[in-house]
Amino acid sequence: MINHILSICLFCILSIGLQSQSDVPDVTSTFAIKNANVVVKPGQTIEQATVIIKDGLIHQVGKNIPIPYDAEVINADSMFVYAGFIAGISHIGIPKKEEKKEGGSSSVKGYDPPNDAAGITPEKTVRSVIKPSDSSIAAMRKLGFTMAHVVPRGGMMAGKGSLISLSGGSVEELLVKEDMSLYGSLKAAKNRIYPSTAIGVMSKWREMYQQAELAIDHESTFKSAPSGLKRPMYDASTKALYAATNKSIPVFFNAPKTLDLSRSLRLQKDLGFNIVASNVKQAYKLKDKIKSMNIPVVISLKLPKEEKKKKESDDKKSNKEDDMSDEMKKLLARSSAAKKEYTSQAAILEEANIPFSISLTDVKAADIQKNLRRMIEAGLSEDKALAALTTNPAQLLGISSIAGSIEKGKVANLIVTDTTYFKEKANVLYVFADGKKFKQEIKKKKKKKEGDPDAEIVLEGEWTLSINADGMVIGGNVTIQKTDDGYTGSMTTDMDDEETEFDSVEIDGSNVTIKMTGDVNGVEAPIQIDVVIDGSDMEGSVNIANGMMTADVTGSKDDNP
Amino acid sequence: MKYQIIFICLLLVDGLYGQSLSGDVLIKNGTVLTITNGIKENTDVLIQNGKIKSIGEGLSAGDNVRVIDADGMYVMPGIIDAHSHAGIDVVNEASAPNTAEVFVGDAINPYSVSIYRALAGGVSVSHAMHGSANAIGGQCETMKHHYGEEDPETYKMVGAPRTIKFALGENPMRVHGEGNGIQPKSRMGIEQVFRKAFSEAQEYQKAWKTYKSGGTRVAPKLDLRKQTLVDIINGEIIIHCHSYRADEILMLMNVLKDYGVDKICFQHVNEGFKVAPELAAFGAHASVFADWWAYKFEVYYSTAYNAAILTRNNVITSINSDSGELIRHLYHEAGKTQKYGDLTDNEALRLITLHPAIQLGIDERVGSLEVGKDGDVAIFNKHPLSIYAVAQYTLVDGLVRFDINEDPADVRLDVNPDEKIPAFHEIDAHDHHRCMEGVFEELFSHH
Repeated sequence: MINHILSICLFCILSIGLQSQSDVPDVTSTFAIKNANVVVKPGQTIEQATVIIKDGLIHQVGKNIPIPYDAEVINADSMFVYAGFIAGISHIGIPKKEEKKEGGSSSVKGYDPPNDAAGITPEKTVRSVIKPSDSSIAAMRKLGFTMAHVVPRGGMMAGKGSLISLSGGSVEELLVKEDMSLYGSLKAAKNRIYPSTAIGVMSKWREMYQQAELAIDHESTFKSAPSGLKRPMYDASTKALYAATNKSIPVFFNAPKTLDLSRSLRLQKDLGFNIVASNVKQAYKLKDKIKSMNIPVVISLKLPKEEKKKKESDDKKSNKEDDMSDEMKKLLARSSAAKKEYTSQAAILEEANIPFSISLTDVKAADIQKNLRRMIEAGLSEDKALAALTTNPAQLLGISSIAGSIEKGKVANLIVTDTTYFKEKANVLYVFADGKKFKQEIKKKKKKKEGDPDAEIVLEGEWTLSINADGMVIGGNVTIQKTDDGYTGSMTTDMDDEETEFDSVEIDGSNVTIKMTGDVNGVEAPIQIDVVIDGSDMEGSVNIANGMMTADVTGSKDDNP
Repeated sequence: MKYQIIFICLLLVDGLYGQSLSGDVLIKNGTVLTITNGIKENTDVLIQNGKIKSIGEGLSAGDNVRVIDADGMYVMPGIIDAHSHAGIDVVNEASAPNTAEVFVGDAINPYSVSIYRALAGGVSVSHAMHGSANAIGGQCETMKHHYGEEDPETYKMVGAPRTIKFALGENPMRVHGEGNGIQPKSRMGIEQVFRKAFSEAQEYQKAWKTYKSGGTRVAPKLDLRKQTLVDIINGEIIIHCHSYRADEILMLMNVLKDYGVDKICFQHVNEGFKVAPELAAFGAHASVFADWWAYKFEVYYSTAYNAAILTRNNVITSINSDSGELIRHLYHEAGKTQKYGDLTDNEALRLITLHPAIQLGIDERVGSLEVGKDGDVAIFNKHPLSIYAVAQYTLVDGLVRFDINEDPADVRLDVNPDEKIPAFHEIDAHDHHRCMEGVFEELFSHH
């Protein structure tokens, strides 16, 4: 199966990457990043400065600093150095497969389910579910993230969050601070299991939380005078809530839409936990409440789809627009205004003086830099964008003294870029995580062939493909049939005979998008082929698991007999 | 190194919750249908700070107060719908036969356009109910139609008594008995669901009383489901029970007698006319459809005279919608009782004003136009029982929430940026008959 091959291929690339980083140890743990523009923290840059890294920490920062004799020197003239980014909340390192375990077996009584079947697993720790080999760790580090607050995937009480370093290594090496938060949501259980709706979830939250408060009382009563008392039940889920009920840890509540946020604030009001509004997409709707209640906010980096840019030359489309009813035009205008509003969330928060961090729980890796730029285009200042990635999450997570800025004594989490990070063509050249150097290979991107939305093509037939994944070439065959309502098809590769059916084939002029689902490293993941058809040739790319990996594709049509 | 999460203490500003919205309006020269104090021609109604300040001739207000010229129009109390599912986005927590602890007030959706559509039918208050999938469903919410506000809390009618949905007959039998192989599989089973729940609640209450009086040192395990039943026994929650057949209506009254519960309003109650004297003797209320039945077996036997027969038997009766469509013309529905049963104008209007207010326990505040009551007003171009009547204005707490002269085509408050255009919202299936919404599999059926 194609997916399988690509995953093997991906594995090879990753392990090659890992080898060069860890199997062959660095000669020295001292580095000097010389003559760079050092962005110490948002709004403060020292030009032509040097950063010395020693044994995992920032040893010195400034101008005219002597370079230690044992330092590996990076000549960073005209380059930029930033503090490593910190994800306010994420699932980095947690394989998606974990999620599938839920839902319970058929023997579960839906009206009286065990906690885990109902999505109640506050006892679940990051330690127990994180996979140091998960590709998301390297993928996010590549983008500049060096630390992340990670929460388990799951239901209404998914588990405890931990702070990890993206420097690689074992679980022990990754973990910086364990069980520092509780991750909650209004996510209902599936398969007729209580709580199956938001109202059930909210009731269950109230009951579990208040039961935990009573259980604490029971425990302490028992401790002081056990005689004549029933011993307390050590229910794992209830016990795991103690830290939230006694407010020693906050509850990061997943609240993407306004209603989710209103409802989680209602629960907060009823129960009194310390809330962090997480993965928020519409904070602008409740900004006054957020401000007056002083709610920490972690905003989603996922944005609505970008509007297609109109081309003046596109006669067919402009005609289409003329034919549009007034009502349709108005509906489209509102939809477009809504897109703008979502994209402006960060800018609106900045204007309202509400600090925020960044959530990576639902954004695709491939969209992160692009979406940051879209937010900046919508009015967010670059300083505040950087603050959302560095100083704000450091403060939120209580790690300002060790991370978030480039200062002597802090952990050597740094990013070196060839131009300012938020520029469209910016490349991350080096990432230092815990003082470990990760050099990024910059691929010169081939200019992509532009499709013509007006072209007429013949897609159906047999195609022979050549997939080039970073130098490794795989052959493949694609069969496409035309049906009454579009196209269907399947793909095989020369690695085995397994056939993968397409989920969808979309066609816009000569642009063709094929989507399928396959097994990537044991996880079911989307695979997308985007190609431009030119007669009997095709050219484009394959995108595996939402940007985890891409490969170039060329192909030609087999002559029909 | 020690990492400590420092969180700024959340400043709970209480004013942010349960805030009351109110306005000032002077309605001039209307025909005022007070419901409790006759009809007053050429009369003004002055609302100040959301409350009716005075009703009389030649009233005046401050310069900045909006004046509505109701010359030739009919001014009546805002219509109240005692059975609706508009404005909430969860109806059924259908996973268990008893889910007394859940609360549809948690699922208020200010972005539901159906609230605006209800306002366009003169409805200012609705009783957003849990569905009928479970014998003991969730708690309901009495909502003020403050469409335009985005904070769900602003829709809650602060001070309204708690209410809860019960359901008899085919729906809970089908969902849990047929659908899941558990009790209740029959009408007998449904009775036992109630008896078991009430009995367990009595035990639970006793255990807590013992703990609180120092009899035990450890609190009983908290159970919000049982606690809700305790609250019903203590008279803090009004039951609104989905029902059709006379025999099961009598059954529930017997169960309630055994547990000392007396606050109940039967919903639908299509065979209520058969047991009207019994309902009156118990003090039970009835909230019915004007002329709607035969949509499933247990509701084949009914009559459009139901409301009139119940009224003549001194049962407090209302006419409800249970539908995003009927809610837009409850005044027509009320008018049908004049064709079927010869109710007077005032009797017919009470079915959609004062009586639903009594059933929801809010008649001190709404349901008639009286000084001191809430400024909830519906203004019609013709007498509201006329087939030509069209709502012109609907006021909630003195705020004009519907004005036919300013009635935009697109009143959505929130737009999904990724939705497909054209955007059709909550029309057809969604807006109709939502009693069984959210029920699993293909068990969907009316009510």
